[in-house]
Amino acid sequence: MELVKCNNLCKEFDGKQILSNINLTIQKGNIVGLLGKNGMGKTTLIKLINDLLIPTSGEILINGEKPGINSKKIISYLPERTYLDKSMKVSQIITFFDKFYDNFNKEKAIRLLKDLDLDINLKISKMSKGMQEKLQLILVMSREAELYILDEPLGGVDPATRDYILDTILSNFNEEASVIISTHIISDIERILDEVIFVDKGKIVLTSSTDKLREKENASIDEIFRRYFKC
Amino acid sequence: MLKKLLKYDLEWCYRPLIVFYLLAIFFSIIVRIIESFEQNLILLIIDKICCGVVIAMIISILINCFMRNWVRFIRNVYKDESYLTHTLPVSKNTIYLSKILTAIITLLTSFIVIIICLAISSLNKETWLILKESLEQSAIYFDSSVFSLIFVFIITIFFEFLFIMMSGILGIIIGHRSNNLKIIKSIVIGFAIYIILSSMSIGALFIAGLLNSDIMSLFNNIEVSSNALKSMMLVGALVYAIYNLGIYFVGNRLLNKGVNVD
Repeated sequence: MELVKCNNLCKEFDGKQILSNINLTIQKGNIVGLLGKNGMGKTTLIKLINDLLIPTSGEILINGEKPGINSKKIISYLPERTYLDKSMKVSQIITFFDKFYDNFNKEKAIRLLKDLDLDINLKISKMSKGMQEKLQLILVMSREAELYILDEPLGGVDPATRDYILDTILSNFNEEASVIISTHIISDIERILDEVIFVDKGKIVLTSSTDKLREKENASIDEIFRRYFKC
Repeated sequence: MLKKLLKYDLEWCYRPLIVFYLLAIFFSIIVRIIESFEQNLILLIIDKICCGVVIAMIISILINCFMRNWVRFIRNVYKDESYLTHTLPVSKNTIYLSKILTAIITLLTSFIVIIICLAISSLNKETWLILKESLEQSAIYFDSSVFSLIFVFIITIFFEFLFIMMSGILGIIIGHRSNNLKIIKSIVIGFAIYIILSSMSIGALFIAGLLNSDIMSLFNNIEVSSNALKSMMLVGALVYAIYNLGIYFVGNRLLNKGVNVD
């Protein structure tokens, strides 16, 4: 079943083509790595899927519908930046998610907070950037969504916590759900990916299942990525 | 969903406003208490200082009311927090309506607090009698009741302030459709909307004056008739109400076309 479909998707900023002619299909139940160097259009593509940007041309369909209320109900999105209201406490933001998302699991969020040693009574403004990113990941993974979109989930996190985060991702979504992970830190995540999409200069240059690609190139995804994007 | 959004928007806007409300009321009461004592030099100095504080608080209430609403709009719709706002399962209509209702409610309560502060600090037996007398005279002059006179006056002023707020919000929406200098463009466009529409309302009044000599007396040096002033206040309230509705619908339409967050 197709969960996400992009048809001839283009995005321009001030006459500069950021994404050109993106044709992409993401099936249900897959963990997809959206891989590419910085500034190649990964985040722009994710923002378009999340209705945060207006496409210059082309269309995006989520479960056969344009991005809107229905797509937002089933997509759980972790942006690369912190989006929380700094004046709130952790407990207040959990209540906020619980109120707005029908599929938010409050008990799971509280359990994950304890696992990551985050104080529920702490004010978000008193938290470090890394702690805020962990909190956002907890909020996102505590939703029982159909599609998780994680933009650089490992970016600001120390290596010791990365494994915990990857395990959290793996153990907190159901088999019917899909995950799109955008990153350039390949070595840490390649073990969990079913499929990879390489993005270069606003175009999709490669789409493949990870197993087939490893077999074909006789190398790890990390090595293939390094070869592909060698400066 | 509107109720939930509205709750969070109001909470955010009221957090500092409440402090200014309380301070303004507190100093108004102080002024009132001081003025009830027999005046000497020290009390007179304290009275003047407290009066100054009340005026400063009233100005702060108005500035904060506008700024908090505009800043909330920018942060929630275009800056970092927009990543959460636009991924909530809520339509853009609801997000926009929540912001506008927050602007109306905070402006209304600010107006009420300002009136209460002015009443506490300035109204005594003497000033009440003067005010009552002048209101009754004005009511006779305008051929209306004191109540409707105050009502129309407050409504007109409220709609004009709301018009400033709405012009700012529409300026933000249009300014943020471009990819650079968004804040400067928002300010310039918001200001331009206010100036252009205000000029248009004066122009409309002048055209109405060509058909009605009473209204034309507003533009001439001849004595202004009560009918002209009454018409101006009623037309003013009506025009600002139309502008506010117009701005609301234009903003809603633009926002529904989509946003480009930062």
